[in-house]
Amino acid sequence: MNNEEVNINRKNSLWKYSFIRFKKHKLAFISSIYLILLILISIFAGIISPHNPDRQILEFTSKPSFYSCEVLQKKDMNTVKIIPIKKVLKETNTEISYIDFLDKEKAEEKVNLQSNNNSYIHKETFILGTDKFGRDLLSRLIYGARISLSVGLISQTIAVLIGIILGSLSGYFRGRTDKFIMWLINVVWAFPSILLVISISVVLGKGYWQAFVAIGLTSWVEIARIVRGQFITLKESEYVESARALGFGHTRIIFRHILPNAMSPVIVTSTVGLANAIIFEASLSFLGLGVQPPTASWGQMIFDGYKYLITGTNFGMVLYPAIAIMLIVFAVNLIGDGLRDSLDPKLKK
Amino acid sequence: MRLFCFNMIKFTLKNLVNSVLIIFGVLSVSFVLTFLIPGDPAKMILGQRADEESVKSIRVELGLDKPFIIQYVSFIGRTVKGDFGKSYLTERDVAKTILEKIPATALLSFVSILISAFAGIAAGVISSIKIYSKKDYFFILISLLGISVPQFVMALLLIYLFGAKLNILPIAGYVDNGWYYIILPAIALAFRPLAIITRITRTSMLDELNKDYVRTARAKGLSESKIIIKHALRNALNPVITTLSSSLAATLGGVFFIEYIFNWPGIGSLAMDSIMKLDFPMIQGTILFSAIVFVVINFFVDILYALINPKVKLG
Repeated sequence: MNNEEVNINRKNSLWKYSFIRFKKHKLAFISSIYLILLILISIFAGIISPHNPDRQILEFTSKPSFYSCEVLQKKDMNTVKIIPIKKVLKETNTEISYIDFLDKEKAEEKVNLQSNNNSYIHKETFILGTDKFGRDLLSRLIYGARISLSVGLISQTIAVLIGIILGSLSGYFRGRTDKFIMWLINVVWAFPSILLVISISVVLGKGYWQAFVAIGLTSWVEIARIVRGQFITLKESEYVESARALGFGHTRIIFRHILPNAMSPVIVTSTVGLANAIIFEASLSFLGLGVQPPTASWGQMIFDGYKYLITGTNFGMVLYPAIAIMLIVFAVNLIGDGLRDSLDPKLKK
Repeated sequence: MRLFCFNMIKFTLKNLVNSVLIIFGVLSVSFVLTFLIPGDPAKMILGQRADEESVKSIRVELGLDKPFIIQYVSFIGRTVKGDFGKSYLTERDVAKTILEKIPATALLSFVSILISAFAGIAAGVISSIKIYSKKDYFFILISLLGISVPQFVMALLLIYLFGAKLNILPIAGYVDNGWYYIILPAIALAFRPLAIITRITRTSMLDELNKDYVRTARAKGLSESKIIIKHALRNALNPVITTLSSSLAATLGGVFFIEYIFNWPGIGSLAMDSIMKLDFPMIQGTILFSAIVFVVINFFVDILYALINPKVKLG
């Protein structure tokens, strides 16, 4: 085979064709751009987010969107103190007098504005408002994206690994192995998944990694079923027969011959699984079993806001994280649809 | 016919054995999980400041001092007899408490399944008749939303809209207070299966409408509504029924978030409350209950399927 031929083969590879088809699926393409954007946002959360997501300013509890206020930032030693100011009465180069936010009484404070560069007055704007602890909602949303995406990716990696191993073993060897693995699949399938996730995370303890593992350990079932089905049909195909005739071992046939051909439904299923994992994480955090506060997570934010749903002043406390979850799950589902159409054109009606 | 009966009995027995094996697995997994949960149950019952003596006596009473295998065997034995243990907190019998909660969960789950079945099939049929129309796109969008929105978020949005803003529907409580208390939880619960059923009905109807028998029916001059309802829909319903039965199996075992949020006194609320209070026998009982309900319903659905659909392979 000369170089040119190789090039032509590359050009016409399955992935290239799939990508072309995927691009035609407009909604899926837009969704994948959104997802990439979200990944970038969560990687660069530290740079993008306007405020520290964990900083509480209790004077700014449940403020509506686009709330802005002047604050006096004081830096003594290593701690930064932020004093909200209702109204500046007098400001000179060396002194400032203002009305305190809490008491509404006139309070004066002497701050040397010039000699100490770290103390200054500036305006803080909260684009999406603040939550009940006076934390900036936008920053928390940005940091929350990290949690949702990493939960989705890591738990699905675990699920795909377990699913592929068990599914291929049961579909390839059949017999007793198959019976045992099918039994295992049915047992896990029978549990209400959210309760199983909850029990596993109670066993492992509350927290970040525990939630990942718990979700991964429960969502491999669907992938194992699909891999098994693929293996059962592909095992009978001629190329596998010829591979066997050539004397290749089981490992080689499984990993080099059957698995690559069984991957496209796995990819599609794991995108749907990714969406479900994000929902699971939100649900776990909503119950207080996921990521522990003060770390921002969308489910946690909804839980925080939910108690103030009727009386609260900033409905965004619930609405924005809810929209964020909806959008990401929506996007991931659309990507799954697009992938299904592009990776397996036979399925397309 | 005789052969069919024989095969049917064989199929039923095989399924029964399978289901029993699955339930056995479910019991084992839930026992292992409870065994692994950190913390001493005796201390959970008596409180952290209990004295050594009473902790010891409780451990003996519960059989916690025995080795793993013996505890496991006695657990299986007790559960088979229907004894799920007692709540750590209220000392009430777990099985009894769960039985009391069944009606509420069953009511909610049946009503929401009915809503999702009727609305979903209607939407799917309309979508498939008027394909690529505005209505079609609308239903596609709604069903995508239904799949994407987590149930608890849906519940909160409904509470906000109908409870807080419009103030026309009650946001928490049971039907004791009036039948309309079921509206919001049922809708919140129905949304996701509705979305899935709409999608499935649409694709399945599209398949059927392109088949030869529909063309024949049209050539015969049958009215369009008769063709759609009597001919195409009847054949398109098979996958829809599968979805409906599986979501019924899933919800009958307890509707966790919806019940909890709407304060609906069913098994889901019970499970959630026990999780919040770390009442392990109750958690274990509710998990077991919903897993067993799932297995049992699937067992009957499989048999029903084999009876209705001759294509299902028996044996």
